[in-house]
Amino acid sequence: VTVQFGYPENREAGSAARVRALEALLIEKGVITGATVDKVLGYFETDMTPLNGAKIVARAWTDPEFAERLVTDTPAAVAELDLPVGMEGAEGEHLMAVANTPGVHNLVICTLCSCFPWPVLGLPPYWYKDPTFRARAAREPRVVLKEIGLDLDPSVELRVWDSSGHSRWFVVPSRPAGTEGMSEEELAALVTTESMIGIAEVPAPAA
Amino acid sequence: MPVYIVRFEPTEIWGELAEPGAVLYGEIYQAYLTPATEEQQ
Repeated sequence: VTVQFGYPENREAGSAARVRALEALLIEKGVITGATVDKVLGYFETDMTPLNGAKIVARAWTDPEFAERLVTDTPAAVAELDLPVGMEGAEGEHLMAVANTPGVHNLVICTLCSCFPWPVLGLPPYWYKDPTFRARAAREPRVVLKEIGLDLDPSVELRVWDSSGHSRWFVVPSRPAGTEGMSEEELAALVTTESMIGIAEVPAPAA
Repeated sequence: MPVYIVRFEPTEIWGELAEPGAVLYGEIYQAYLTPATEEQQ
């Protein structure tokens, strides 16, 4: 698999050069300015981050009715929260939350490319776009999860969501033990990007 | 065009190489689908 889907050695340098050439051409033709690119990147690096996802998950953990609405009509539930403008914008047009339960674990992948719920989780991590990860996570998800530290009990059903069409899935992880007295804000600080993709659980807070 | 979330049993895709205990949901555009009754005929 690794050989079949491996990167050419100059992949990064080649992609970077292509992007630079494309940006230069668009600027030269007056389609964008240098500031346009910085503005878009800044937006997805500061406003559209996993902090939004963490707030959504923390609300779901503290409000069972919200948790129910979140999985039945994700965009409407997300709109209830005080989040940055544009949650239903680029790469967030069709948000779909899937919730972990004691018997079900969810994993979000994109086998074709790198579809990812940007407004909820920010820009996709590098490994998410890795061709080997994408192929293996579809065919042998349990083995892949175990390799990266999540050993699911055989009795747990693993649902793999391939977000290659138009929905942008994210996972509502299980609330860890030992968090009973915590505020919504404290809970949000525990939620990791990895847990909202489904490659990890939310760790219990340090005692 | 409508998009359907289709549940696949991994054994139907990968046969005996499939990993037990997992299911795969993929999004398929309507153009790629045929009604189940049509396929049975």
